[in-house]
Amino acid sequence: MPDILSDWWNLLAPGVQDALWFALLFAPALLTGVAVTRGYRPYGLAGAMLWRFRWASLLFALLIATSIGIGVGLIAQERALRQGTARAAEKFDLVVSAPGSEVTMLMAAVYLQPSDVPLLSGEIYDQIAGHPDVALAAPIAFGDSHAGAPVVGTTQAFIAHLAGDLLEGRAFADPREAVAGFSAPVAPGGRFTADHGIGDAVEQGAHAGHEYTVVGRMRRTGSPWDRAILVPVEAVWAVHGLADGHAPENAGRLGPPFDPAYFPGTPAILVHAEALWANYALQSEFTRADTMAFFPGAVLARLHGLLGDVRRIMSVLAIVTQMLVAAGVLTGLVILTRLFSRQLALLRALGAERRFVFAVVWCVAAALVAVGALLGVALGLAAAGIISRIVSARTEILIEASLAWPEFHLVAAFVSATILMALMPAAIVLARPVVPDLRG
Amino acid sequence: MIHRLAVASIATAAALTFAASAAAEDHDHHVGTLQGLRVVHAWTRATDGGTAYVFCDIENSGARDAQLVGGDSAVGSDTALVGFRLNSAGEGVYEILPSVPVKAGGKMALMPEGAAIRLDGLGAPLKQGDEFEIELEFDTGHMEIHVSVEAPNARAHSHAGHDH
Amino acid sequence: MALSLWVDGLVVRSQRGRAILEIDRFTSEPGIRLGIRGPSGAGKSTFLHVLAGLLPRVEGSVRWGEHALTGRGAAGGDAARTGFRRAHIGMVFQDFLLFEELGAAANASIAASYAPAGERAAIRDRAEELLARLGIEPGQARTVRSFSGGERQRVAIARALAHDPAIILADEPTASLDRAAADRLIADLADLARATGKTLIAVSHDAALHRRMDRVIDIADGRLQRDEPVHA
Repeated sequence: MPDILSDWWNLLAPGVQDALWFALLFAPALLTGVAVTRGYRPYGLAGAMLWRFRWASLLFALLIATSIGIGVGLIAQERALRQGTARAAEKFDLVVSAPGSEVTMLMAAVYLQPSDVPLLSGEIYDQIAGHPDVALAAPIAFGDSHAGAPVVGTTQAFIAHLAGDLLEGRAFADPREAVAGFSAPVAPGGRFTADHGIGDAVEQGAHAGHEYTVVGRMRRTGSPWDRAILVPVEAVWAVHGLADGHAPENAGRLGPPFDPAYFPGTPAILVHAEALWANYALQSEFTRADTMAFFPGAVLARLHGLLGDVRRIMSVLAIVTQMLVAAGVLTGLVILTRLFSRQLALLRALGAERRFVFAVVWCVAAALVAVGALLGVALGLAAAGIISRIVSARTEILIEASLAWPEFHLVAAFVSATILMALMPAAIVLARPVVPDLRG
Repeated sequence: MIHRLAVASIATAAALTFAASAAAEDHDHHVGTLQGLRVVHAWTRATDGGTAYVFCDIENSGARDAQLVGGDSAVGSDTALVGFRLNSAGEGVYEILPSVPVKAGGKMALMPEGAAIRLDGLGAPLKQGDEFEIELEFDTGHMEIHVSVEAPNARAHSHAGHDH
Repeated sequence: MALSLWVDGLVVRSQRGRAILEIDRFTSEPGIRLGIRGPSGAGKSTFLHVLAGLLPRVEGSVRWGEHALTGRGAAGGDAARTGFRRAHIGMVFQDFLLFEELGAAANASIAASYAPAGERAAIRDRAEELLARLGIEPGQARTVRSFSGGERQRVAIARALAHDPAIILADEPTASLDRAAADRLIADLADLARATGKTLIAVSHDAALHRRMDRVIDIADGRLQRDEPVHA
């Protein structure tokens, strides 16, 4: 591209670029339509032909819709997963844990799919919490559960960071109080005891002596934290028979500062810095022999990269499918036009020009492509919506499928390509002699 | 710019080498170190596009904290210190950073999906195996570093793990 | 505008080269109602197709007024013959050849879909007028699928006349109809042709049809047999 053109292009807003790109991709279809039908009214006859072969037409449109739907669904679903997982991780600027797998830690600390991990000591917590660039250092002590919902020990400041003001009730003020996630299985006023472990490995009754009262409920975050029950980290330590993070003279205190000498450990620490640059410095600083610091967003971006690679491979398959379907449908159309050849010959006998007959057949193909493509967009969105709902229900990550420019670019490119391909069956019709066809 | 005239990678490499040696003569600082700062494993990914990200490890063995504030380069038209962030739309974006600190006795890694030096307006493709120079700008002065061009999908310097 | 017909040295050959129709010389005056008789396969329909300009390769000369369809003076090939058909010829077929999915008015005004924009309204108006005159309600929504044979052929006649051609070519127009419907159709066709001054050329086995013609010719074995003025 010449520099002046690329400079101009780069200056445009992304939405304008997308719209122009769509127009560019759709232009061949539109221009072909205008050129083919210029001066004619072939729609009634095209409609008659579609109606005569309505079952075949419906089948063709559904075939196109399915192939387009797969392509649209793939793109929409990938984006929905990307956005949903990114939104769920948005508040987790930087996570520090014991060295190990970043992905395992991401799953455990951000998406609450816990696994057994070593704990960070009170000294490490103290270094992080005391760092001048750190605005918030919150322990995330996962591992317990109630009725299948994770029970996580943390601080009130973390709750405020994650979900802002409470939806109802108040913050916990006692080791026997808890704040429920938006869709947790307990409500304010309710009482429960936590079980040790989560899922299949749960040990019921291990913490039977410690009953929590729910005093507040968080706003919706669209993340697995919506199902979680948050309790003071001191309570998690207490129910495990450990020190409660505070020196005896501060007994009963909730939240920071913690006393390193009485800090039993935490599997992960969420670190939040006010300035973006500070995160990179902190990440470098706490990447050391005894700690691992990672950006959940960066790990997620790499996972998204893999997801994108898979989606791209599947998209190639979807495009191959679309082209095969288009070729199949157009071949089917050639066969249908043979069944319609007497009517087309009649038009020629009545004085219609060749180009008119060409226009009728092309309109039939274009209508199948257009209806199929529109149905396909709806089908793809519906499929992505259903899959999103299932994934949301299973993971509590809010995943919402929507349509965006890439899908419309795909559809415009498909429509343009097939509408140009549709010139072929229309041209094949022209090669047929009139009188033999007229005799039927 | 010299490399805009280059039509083949050999010519580009020659031009870059020329630029590098010319730059080295211009500067008093020894390439790669500056007042206790040492930069190793500078690398980028091969690309045909207009933008590249340079990553490296910065070590500060000096007695005072340093700030990386940006860079300069003859390879691109614009050089900036940026930080990666995943926005809520699930898109990775790089935002301009005013500076990043390199503490005395500490280390700072510029790495993929982290902080990086962004080169915009590349005039010629970067090919795997090429080398070029950029200048890192610290609050304490400038430093020339060699950047090696790795594979388009590389995740680290090909010599990473070696002890330089 | 009525047109006279001139045929000179016409030979139509089959794909293998056998002459299936040979007419040395034939003329007819503008506005005539001409019947063509003859056994099946004798070349009657082929003659009609030649007169419509539907056959691409024929020897000899066929001329309507000043317009040569073939032979000397014929220019423009298929496109010119198509244009001539669109402007000057209306056709009626044995098995109607209507678009089953469309209604009476849409079928009768089919020419509007390929006519220049300026002629469309006139074609539609004339189609409705003709349908009404032939006893078919033009505004009805039902498609011609449910029509009787007689109704269908009357729709076909309205279609043949909607663009106001000078010539009507009818190929066995009554062969698919019962006697009563055939008689009504013959009367409609003959009266309309007479009233509008159009040339009507009808290939038929139906003696009742030929009785309403001004002139009847016989074609057998691909040759013109005799020429008999009916109302001499």
